[in-house]
Amino acid sequence: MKTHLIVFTILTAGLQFWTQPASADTTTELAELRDMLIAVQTEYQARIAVLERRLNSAEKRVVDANDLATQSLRLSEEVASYPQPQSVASAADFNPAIGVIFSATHGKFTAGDEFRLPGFQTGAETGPVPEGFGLGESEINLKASVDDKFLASLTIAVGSADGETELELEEAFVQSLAMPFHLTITAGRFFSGAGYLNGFHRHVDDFVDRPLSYQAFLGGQYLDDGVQLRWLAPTNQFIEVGAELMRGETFPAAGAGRSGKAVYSVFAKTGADLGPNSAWQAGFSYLNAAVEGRPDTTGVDEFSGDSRLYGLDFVYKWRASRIRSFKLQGEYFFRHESGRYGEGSYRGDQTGWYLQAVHQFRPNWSLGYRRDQLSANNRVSVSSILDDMGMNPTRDSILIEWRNSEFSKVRMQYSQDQSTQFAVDQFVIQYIMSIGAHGAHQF
Amino acid sequence: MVRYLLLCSCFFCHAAVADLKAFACEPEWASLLQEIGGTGISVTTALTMEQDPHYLQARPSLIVGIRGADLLVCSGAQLEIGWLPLLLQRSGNQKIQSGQPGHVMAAMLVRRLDIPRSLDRAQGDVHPEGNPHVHLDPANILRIAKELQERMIILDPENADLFETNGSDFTRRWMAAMGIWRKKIEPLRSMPVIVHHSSFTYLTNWLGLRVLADIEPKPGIPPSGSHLAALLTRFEANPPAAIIKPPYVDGRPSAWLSERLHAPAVELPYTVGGQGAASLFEVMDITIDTLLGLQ
Repeated sequence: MKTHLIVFTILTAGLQFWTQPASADTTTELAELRDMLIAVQTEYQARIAVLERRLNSAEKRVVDANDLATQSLRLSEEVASYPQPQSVASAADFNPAIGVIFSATHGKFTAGDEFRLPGFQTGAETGPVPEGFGLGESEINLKASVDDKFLASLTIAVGSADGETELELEEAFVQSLAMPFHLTITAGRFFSGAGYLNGFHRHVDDFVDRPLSYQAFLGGQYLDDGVQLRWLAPTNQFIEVGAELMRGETFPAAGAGRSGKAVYSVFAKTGADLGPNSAWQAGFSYLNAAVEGRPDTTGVDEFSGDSRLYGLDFVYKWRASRIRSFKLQGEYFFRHESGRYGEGSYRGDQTGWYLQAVHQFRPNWSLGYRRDQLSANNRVSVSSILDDMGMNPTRDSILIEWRNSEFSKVRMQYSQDQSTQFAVDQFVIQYIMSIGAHGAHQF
Repeated sequence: MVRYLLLCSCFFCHAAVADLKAFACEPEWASLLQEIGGTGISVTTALTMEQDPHYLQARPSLIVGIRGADLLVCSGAQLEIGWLPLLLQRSGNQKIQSGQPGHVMAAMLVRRLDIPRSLDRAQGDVHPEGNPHVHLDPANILRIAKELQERMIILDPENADLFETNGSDFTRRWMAAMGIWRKKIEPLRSMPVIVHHSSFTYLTNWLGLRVLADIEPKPGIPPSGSHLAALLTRFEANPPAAIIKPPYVDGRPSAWLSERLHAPAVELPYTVGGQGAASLFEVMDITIDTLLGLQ
């Protein structure tokens, strides 16, 4: 800065000396020189200001660095003394998670609620909800890990029939958590892995009742005592295969034949994502049952013989946040049965399918549509309910659902049932609410 | 042949570097795992920033992702209660089950806020163990990072040096950033805001913002028209400086209220990926800058 000043002074002095002998006619030149001088002066002043600014900021940075060092020291001390996480454990935490489901219906039908699927022998828990008020089943579920290797779950359904309170054991299974090779063993009473919808509790169903094909082929839902093995393939594509061996005392089996191992099934599932918000899953299943004396709901005849059920299923789900979602789901079944029906012989080939779509169009509202169809081709030597009377049972259902939270929903379903010659209009209002433990959503 | 062998060995040596497989429920934990694990880890994330961590389904790809994982990192405190238990149950993977070193619930490592005094679903979808959205308090990140580093070393001792170096480097950078943030956020203290969902409790607590109200009447319950109208009459005379929301909730309620209260509706990054934030550092930077921009 000093040198600048010296140069500046010399320059000014020199200029003055040089302009002295000049005459008055050089006034314009003098003015020019003065302008130049002013320009030089302002330029130097600007440079000096820049230098001063740089010096100041450099000094400030030194202060900042010191500041930062002390600050991070203070921070590390602070973090070390940051409050420890709270412990919330108490002895009560060992209690299993308890969840209770409440559900009730009110049905209004244009014809009586007598249920028949011509060409099909149906199990006990089939048909529409009762006309008028009906409580359906209330469910109690208890679930917890047994230890580091097992999990156990118990579900009891409480219902009433003919004025009597009925307790039904729906599930009572233990499941392995730590088998090698991604194997999972389930033992006890559980929902069979055959079919897609069969593995779900009914209270998570999208519609008030099960599809006709489930009512005809699986008695609404096939659950039995036995053992199941599942294996998750070590591939990037989701592939799961499973096999089960069951006692065979409930529909579609009966009588616990083959020394109490009357049913076996195999199933496979695969699926993947389609973009960040949607995914699909498809599956195949085969269920073989040795049936000994399967009674009909009318109590007239019994079936004994061999029942083989093949199923294909797929589901596609799209979900953009909690506000909107869409789900398309369908299953196709083929069943072959042969043996004795009542006093005569029976061979039957039956098919059934359903396709349903549910659209959650507002945070609390969903709209759904389902199409059901069944058809039977039976050869029976003696006249019975297996005569399909030339009918292919069909049903169309629409549903509107309102949910206040994850734990409560109220819905209304209208179905037009054409199972028999007479079309029946069914209106059902249902609520489903749950208290206690928060259940997980299966895909 | 030699070239083929070389290719093979190179393939295997590459595989040997990234041999710890992690499954993160939320993007914030995926980012933190990547910071500490570096080349020694590969991370699968269950959620994107647009998805609500409360509402996810145990879809097939997630079962595949969790099946091969050595380390599972989620928020915990029941945030993932609707889907994680089912994933764990179906994974057939013992390494990441509860109680194993490969099972980390981040919220349980820090001091949680909003622990309810009483539990009743009439209060909404409350979390008995407290608010699980812990990653928006920078001090929590430090503690969780330390725990993740320790777990990685237990699970893959061969890469201990790598995890140690990355971990302490991350801690150093995070602390330096905390120093800068601490200075920057001073003007934000006591800024009045309305929030959408309790996703920002740790953030508002750290910044010292004044939370006037929540757009959700109860946690997890979407706002009704009457609730919004009540908020409008309550704050018409005294509007907040901003209405803040995470990317995964519906933007319409806050936009509706913003228009009528003449207060800006702002979407904050919330997690890595939100508002283009590429790292946890950027999540905090963008959040702070956005809020400062409203002043």
